[in-house]
Amino acid sequence: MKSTMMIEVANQIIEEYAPTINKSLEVPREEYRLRWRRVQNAMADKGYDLIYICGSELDRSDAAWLAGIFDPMIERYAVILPLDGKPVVLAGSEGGHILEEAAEKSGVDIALLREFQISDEEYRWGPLLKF
Amino acid sequence: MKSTVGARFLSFEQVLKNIGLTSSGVKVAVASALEFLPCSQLFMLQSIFGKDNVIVDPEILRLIKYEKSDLELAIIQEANKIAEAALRGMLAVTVPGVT
Repeated sequence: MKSTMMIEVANQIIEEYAPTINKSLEVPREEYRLRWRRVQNAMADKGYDLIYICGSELDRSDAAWLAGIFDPMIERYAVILPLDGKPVVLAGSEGGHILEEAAEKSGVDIALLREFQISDEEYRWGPLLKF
Repeated sequence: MKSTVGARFLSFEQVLKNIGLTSSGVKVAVASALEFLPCSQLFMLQSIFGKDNVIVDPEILRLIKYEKSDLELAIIQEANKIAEAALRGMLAVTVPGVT
């Protein structure tokens, strides 16, 4: 099939489906707070002070569920949650930069750690949303 | 736009301090599946908190996470529509010989 026909087919499918998809749905901060509280209650039951979750291209669902962040496909990352308070995303300088917008939506904090940075790449830090 | 602002790195201990903890006497549950946890991160946790204080416990999160709210189910329904559109698009352009 020629590429122009492929594009035409793709456009037809997009036109058919796009009006049926509700793009306004998203997980609000209140639901994230409920999730943290449920996990913190389970932590208290088991005597844990801190939860640690790793994230990468292999396993992104735990961090997405707890902190609303997606896989930056650059560096590995992690999320910690104390018994009280909100999660903190641990990331390298480039991954943290990419995750900033998602963290803003869920209300979690981001901390940059050299342990999550690839080799010796040191990217400049600037809030992406303010560019 | 700021031109040359270096990355503001913290140590793990500084992050702990910011959330009101120290590395001493803290019991940590690793809630990710062990097959996905990089050994460098496990070693990092064990060196900070002590080997006996780092417990691998994926069940603690998995059992809670699998119980979906109505909103989550609604979002999954919308995601299914997008996946269906992508699958139909793929089938429409797939012919013998395409890899």
